[in-house]
Amino acid sequence: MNGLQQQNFRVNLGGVIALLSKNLYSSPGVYVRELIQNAMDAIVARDTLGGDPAPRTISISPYGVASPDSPANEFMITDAGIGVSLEQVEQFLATVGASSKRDELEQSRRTYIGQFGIGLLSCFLIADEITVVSLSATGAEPIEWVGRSDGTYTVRTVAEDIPVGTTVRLQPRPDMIGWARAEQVSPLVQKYAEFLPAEISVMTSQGPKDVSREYPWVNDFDAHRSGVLQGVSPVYGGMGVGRQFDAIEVADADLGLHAVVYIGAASRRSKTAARNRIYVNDMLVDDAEGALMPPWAFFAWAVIKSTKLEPTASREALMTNATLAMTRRKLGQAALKWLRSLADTDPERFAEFVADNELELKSAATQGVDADNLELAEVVLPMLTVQTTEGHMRLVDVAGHNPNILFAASVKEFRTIASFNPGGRIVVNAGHTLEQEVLLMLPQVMSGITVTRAYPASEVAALMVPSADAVGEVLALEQRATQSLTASGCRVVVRQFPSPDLPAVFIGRGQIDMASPGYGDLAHLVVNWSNRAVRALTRTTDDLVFSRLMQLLFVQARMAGQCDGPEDRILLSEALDDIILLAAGVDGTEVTR
Amino acid sequence: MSEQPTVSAEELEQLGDEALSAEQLERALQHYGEARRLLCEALDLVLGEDADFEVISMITDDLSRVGEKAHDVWSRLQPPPKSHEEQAAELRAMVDVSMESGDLAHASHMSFRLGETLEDLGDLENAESAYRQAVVLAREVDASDPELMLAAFASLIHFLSPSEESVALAEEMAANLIDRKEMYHPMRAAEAAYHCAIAELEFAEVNPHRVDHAMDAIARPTIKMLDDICFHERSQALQRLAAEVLRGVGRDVEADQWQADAEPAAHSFAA
Repeated sequence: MNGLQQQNFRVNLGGVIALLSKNLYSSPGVYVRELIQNAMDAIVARDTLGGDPAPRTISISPYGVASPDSPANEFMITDAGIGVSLEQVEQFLATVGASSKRDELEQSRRTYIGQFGIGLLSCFLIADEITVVSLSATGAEPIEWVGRSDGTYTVRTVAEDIPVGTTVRLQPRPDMIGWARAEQVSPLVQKYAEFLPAEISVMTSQGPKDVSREYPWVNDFDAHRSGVLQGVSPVYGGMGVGRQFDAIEVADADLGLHAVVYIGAASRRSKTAARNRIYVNDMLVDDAEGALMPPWAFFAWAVIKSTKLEPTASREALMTNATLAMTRRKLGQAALKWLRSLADTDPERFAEFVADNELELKSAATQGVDADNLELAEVVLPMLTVQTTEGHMRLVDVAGHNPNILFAASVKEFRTIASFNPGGRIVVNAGHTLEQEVLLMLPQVMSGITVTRAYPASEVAALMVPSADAVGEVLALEQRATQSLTASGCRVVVRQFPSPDLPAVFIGRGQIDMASPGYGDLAHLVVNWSNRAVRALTRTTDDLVFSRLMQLLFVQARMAGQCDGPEDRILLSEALDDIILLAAGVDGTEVTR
Repeated sequence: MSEQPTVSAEELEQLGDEALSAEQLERALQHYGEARRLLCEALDLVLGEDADFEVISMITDDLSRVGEKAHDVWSRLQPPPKSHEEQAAELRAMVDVSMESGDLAHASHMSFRLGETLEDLGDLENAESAYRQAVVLAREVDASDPELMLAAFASLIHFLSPSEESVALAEEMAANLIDRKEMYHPMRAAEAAYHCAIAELEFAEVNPHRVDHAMDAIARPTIKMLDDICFHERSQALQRLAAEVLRGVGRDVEADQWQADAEPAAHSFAA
């Protein structure tokens, strides 16, 4: 087809404005941030003209507060920045997507906060009309531009004598009045802009309130940390963040990064107050906190001052790029370095930290496979305290006793082993949440360590057999006892337990000695040669008494191992009856032998 | 060995009266307390013996009289209640402390209590400011404390005159508490819908063109929501308010129907 004509899309400007202003931002409050951002950029731009530096002041008069320049029924913000001329109005205020900062953006990204030319649209979140009165520092006539949410605008020059700079006035819609009142505006200004290098004041019914201040740590980090260690709650955006365990300074000129990483106190860790705060060119990027600290660093959060991170158009997220990745890495490394140094220099405080965060640390160190997780595991895992057959011990100490760490995979197995093995081989209870994961990860973070599962049967196998001079007695006991328990299908073996207290232990399954292959699935009653009652049994000549006592021992061992059932209660009852009758001989009743 | 002098409950009460006349309040309270103890013992005794009603009622009358005297003396011994001004100053300080320590939820709670106190004092401007601050903080706390969102928003909504803003606040609260999974609870959602419906109905009363919307789109579904979880008193209160609003805009027939729906028992009796 010949004569093709290039045509433009027809854009419903009112619709686009509504779309951008209502869908780009998460809260109506962002208009405060966008207006301050424009004001700050205008001040910086005026400096580039040379001459005297622009007054670095931004004044805000919220709705409901009457000031000399603003009636009570409007919101007003004034800056002494570069201003706009009639020609620039067409370009910058009336063209969605145009920004006065775009041309210089690449060469001086750190200078300007805004980049996209859409910030002013956020005012339509609370008002249907935006009035901008401005006098350009370049010497043109003052202008008044009025933009409306239907996509129309008017512009005119004004005769009044006004100072260089820009004033934006909004008359909030009746339903949005609350968002323009001092109670809401003041905290928003503090939240977004308290660290901007300008004097920002908000008019209140009690007079102007200065909002600006310096980062609490930027001039004297040691003093800030000292306060934190003494329990002083850091304050951001006018709100305290609660007690913190520690604070770490992070600075990297190449990344344009100066930051403080706070280590949260476990009991006070609150998602509301202690969350990451990212200031790009000293303006808070809202709701971007999830992007900052690596997920394993659950115990830390950061406040960062960056000149190189890049916010998205809504300024509610950060661009995912190499700078963000390196910043995250840097902050994660700082948290890890802190942990390592605390472990080396202050073991008591480190132990306190580990105890407060044990479950989370286990989870963070064992989940995921990246290098940082491994580093966290390397610092934390050896210091974790576990339950062992020798009481509670740190894993590093368990490994010190035996580099082949043994563990029981369930609490029940651990209890069985612990019942006959105190003072013997150290076995760790890995029956609780994440403990097996922790142990199985240990060889990756401690060199020369192996981890092996211990079974009650394998631990019995490791017990000593009684000395050779007792072999006759031992064999006789094993044979008689096994015969007594024929009905229960249980083999009896004799071993020497480290402690004489326990007479016997029931091992439900597993091969307990190499000399008797094929017995892997047979239940065993292992009796303790060191136990006084067991030794006494060998001297029992009455077979019936011996048999009933063995049955009682058998039931007792099964009950201790929590594997008894109804058949054990019957056996217990019968054996006990017979023992009583044999001992007392009631009414001359004969016990069937 | 000296014998313990026996004093009757009547004598103890009299001693208490004498101490009271002499403004010896603590002593009076002690005597009344003893008298009550003796009367209680006597009552236990006669109840165990199946005594007649007259004896029992005589003791209970004595018990109640001495109890009242003891309570009066106890009340006089209490420090005078704090003035509203003192309470307001305390609440203000608590807001500041909670803000500094990062307990924003507590700061918000204290802030709307401060609003209530200032409202009682007649300082409506600062009361509004406190209610608004409570809402600002509740927004920060967000899903960590949905009850707070309900309480803080409801306080401000009902403080404000019916307006677009009170409706917008109610909608914001309801959207959070009904639509957000992490904040949803059927009772809380129904409560939020209830406050939202009140705001809509009250606003409709001064903006008659919104009446149909308030009735059909807001009040009816809210009443169903309230009835579904057996908040019948709330749903009836809403029906009565709807009737008032309708009557206020001259729709008496509909108002009668809503009123009748609000009083089902009376309605069926009259019929």
